[in-house]
Amino acid sequence: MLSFFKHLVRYWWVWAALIALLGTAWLLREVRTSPPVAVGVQRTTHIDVTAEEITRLREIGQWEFLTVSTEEMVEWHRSRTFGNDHMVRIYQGRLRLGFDTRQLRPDWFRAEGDSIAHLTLPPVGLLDENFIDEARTRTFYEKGTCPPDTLERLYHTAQQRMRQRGLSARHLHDAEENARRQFTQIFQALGYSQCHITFKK
Amino acid sequence: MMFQKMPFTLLLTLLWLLLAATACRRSAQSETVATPADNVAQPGLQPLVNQVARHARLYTYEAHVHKIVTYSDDPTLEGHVLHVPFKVPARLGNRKVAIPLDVTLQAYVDFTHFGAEQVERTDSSIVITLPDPVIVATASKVDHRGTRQYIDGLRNRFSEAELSALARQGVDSIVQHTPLFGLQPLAERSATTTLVPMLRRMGYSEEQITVRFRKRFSEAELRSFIIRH
Repeated sequence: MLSFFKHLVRYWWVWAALIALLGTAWLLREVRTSPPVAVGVQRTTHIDVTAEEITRLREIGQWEFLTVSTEEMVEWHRSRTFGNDHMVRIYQGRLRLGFDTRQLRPDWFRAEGDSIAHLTLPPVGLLDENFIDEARTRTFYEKGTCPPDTLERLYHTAQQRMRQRGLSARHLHDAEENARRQFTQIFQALGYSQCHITFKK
Repeated sequence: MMFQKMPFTLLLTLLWLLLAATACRRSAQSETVATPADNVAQPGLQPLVNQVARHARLYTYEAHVHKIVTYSDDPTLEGHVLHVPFKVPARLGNRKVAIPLDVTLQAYVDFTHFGAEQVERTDSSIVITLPDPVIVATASKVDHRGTRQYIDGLRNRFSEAELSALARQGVDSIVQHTPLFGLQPLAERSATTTLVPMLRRMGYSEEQITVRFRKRFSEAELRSFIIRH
């Protein structure tokens, strides 16, 4: 028994090292589970809750037959004495092609017996000039500052280019063809076996 | 010995020259690829996306919604030291922005899959069943001249990318609140007033025409139909 205690005392440093190791492990575990110091940056990325107001309500009657979704990249550059400003924005728009029912003439529909319908429809065109979703605009590159008037100008440039591209002869022809197909389908469902459609030019 | 070594040295030199020539050619190619970067600065750029969709939709109602999107960027440093909590401003000064925004909402009835099964005809009446109107945001416009930024001295201005991201949240908020605007019944009524004159041209009188909408039941309504024994 005495010799056992003598051995214990003789190798005291082994026991001390073991106790120190266990103590360090316990301390690390405690610090990890409940750290004495914790710091973090709290930042909200959400907008504030504000009112939404309906400024205008109106009845419309627009037949849409083709939607052209497109993007347009516009660029602006300004050189100044010290440095320069540069902006590249990508606008997104959706051009809707069809016709407005207000353009229909009183004699737009004529039935020949019970089975043949003759329709005279107005020309297919752009239904709404306001087709850009500006909130979805991506600012691809930005350096310096861009005045509000320039942003308005960029918007109108994008609108003009999209309009030119969207109102191509091919798209207008496609819209007309689709209108022909869809109206035939609708009038067949209403009981007319034949449907002759003419577009006013 | 000298003659034996010569071909090897010559071969090595030729190989080196070939490698050098290849490397020069490659670097010349990368320069030509990099040169068209100047085209990026040209005003007329090619369209990135051009998607065309065909359908038959009758747009019946339009609403313009105005919203002033506001945002305060005031980050705070939060935490605790020895279980004592603290909260201090992370940066010196804060910044705020107000963005006036206009969104166009439009309601349409989809006729793309309109068929005979949606029409019930008798000798004296016609009943048309339409799908429910769908309300979509067709356009949005940011009032750049009306946008106001309030920035403390030690902070940067909001970038255009940040402003666009906030405007996008504004549009999403309006779209989320669309059911609260009560546009659905107005759109249904407008669809009826557009279709009735068409049907009258076909020889039906107003009393003989019925335009109705398919009811889409909510999950709660469907649950209420289930009888539990």
